[in-house]
Amino acid sequence: MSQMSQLSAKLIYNFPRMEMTMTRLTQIMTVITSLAIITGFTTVPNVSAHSEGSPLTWFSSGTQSLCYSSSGLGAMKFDGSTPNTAAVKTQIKLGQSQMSVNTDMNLSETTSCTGYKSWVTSYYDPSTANLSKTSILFTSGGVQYKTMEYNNNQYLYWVTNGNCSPLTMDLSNVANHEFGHFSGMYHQTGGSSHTMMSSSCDSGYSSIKAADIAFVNDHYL
Amino acid sequence: MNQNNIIITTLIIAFVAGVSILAANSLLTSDTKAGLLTNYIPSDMSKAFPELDDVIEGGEASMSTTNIEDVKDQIQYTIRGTVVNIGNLEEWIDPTPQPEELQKIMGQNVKIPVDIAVTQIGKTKLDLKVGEIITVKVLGRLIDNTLYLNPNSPQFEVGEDVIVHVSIDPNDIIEKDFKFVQLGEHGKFKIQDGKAFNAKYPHGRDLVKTLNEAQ
Repeated sequence: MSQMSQLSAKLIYNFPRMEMTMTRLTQIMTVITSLAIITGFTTVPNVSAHSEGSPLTWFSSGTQSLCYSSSGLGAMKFDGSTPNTAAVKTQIKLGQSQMSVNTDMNLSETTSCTGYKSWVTSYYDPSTANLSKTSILFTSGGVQYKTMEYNNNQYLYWVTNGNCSPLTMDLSNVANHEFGHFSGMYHQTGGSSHTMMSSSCDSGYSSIKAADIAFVNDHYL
Repeated sequence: MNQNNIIITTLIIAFVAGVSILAANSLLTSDTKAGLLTNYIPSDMSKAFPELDDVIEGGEASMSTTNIEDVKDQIQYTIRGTVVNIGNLEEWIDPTPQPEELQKIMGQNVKIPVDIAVTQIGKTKLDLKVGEIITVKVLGRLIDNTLYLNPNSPQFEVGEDVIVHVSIDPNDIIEKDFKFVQLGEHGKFKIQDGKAFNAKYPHGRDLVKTLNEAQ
């Protein structure tokens, strides 16, 4: 009889007695088994880890100034009216605040926009499924700046009600996501565990999440 | 001895369970990241513009949806066809008022015409026939001889077999009856080996299902 067969036979033979006398041991073994399995499961969500690969890149410094284009933002339909520039700007700046307060980035608005700066504005996109874009721009000197633009298609209604649907969209939630792009992050899998999840919105847009914060802070110490 | 047996058995079970979970996770992750189970090769629009310094995706886009169900009312037709030509860049004027400083760094807004000879029709609200050539346009910006495609743009190559969901812009801002691929890269499929591929379906999907999903 092989060693394994002998071991199995002993276990089967001794099992009834063990049931009576090994309660304490069983409890300990159950805890060990549970811990091992839990360890395995908690390692499973590799999807929660950020990875590189975006055309966007990181700034050399986490301290950045942005210029908000009043004329550009005034082209957006917000809460059913155009222009609604002040309200639009307020909602977008909530995203700026989320990033500045929660990460090592230090973002501020500048009113001195002469020369090449990072900009927040709007643009026209024929598809209302396209909400916004953050683009990378290189100057001739090789210095990197970015533009953050929100779709001003009049069939797209920007709102503040937390909605996430193809035609009505919470502006501050999308701004949270967009400032994640501005920092250098791109879309991640992992559902609502990320502000930067996927390429279509869900409740994860409502605030910047721990995984995103850690990823940003890794780059801007 | 009995205690030792129990301990050994328990540890073996725990070890096997943990390793199995980790192995499954590793397989799943590597498949997703490297696309090991497919030979899908994304289209590269830069081949049509050798005169440019570079053609790149210009950043990241945020979308309200990538689900065709959410936008199928806006889709005028879904066709299968062959890309027969990719035309020269055409400038268009975005009417969004921008400060002069910003205009300096944004370059030119451009549209890229892509002619597709229709070989099969899945959905149409228009009078469309097999053999016709329809022109969809892809948007981007030209800055210092580099073409920055709008993030999430579909890319095309001459000669490729494709399925596209096409919408017509009702605003007539870019041009009258401007045709574009709805959902961008998620609304364009490259056909390879009898399957339809894109970034959302890197392992391919059924052609008939794809052609008729916007009905």
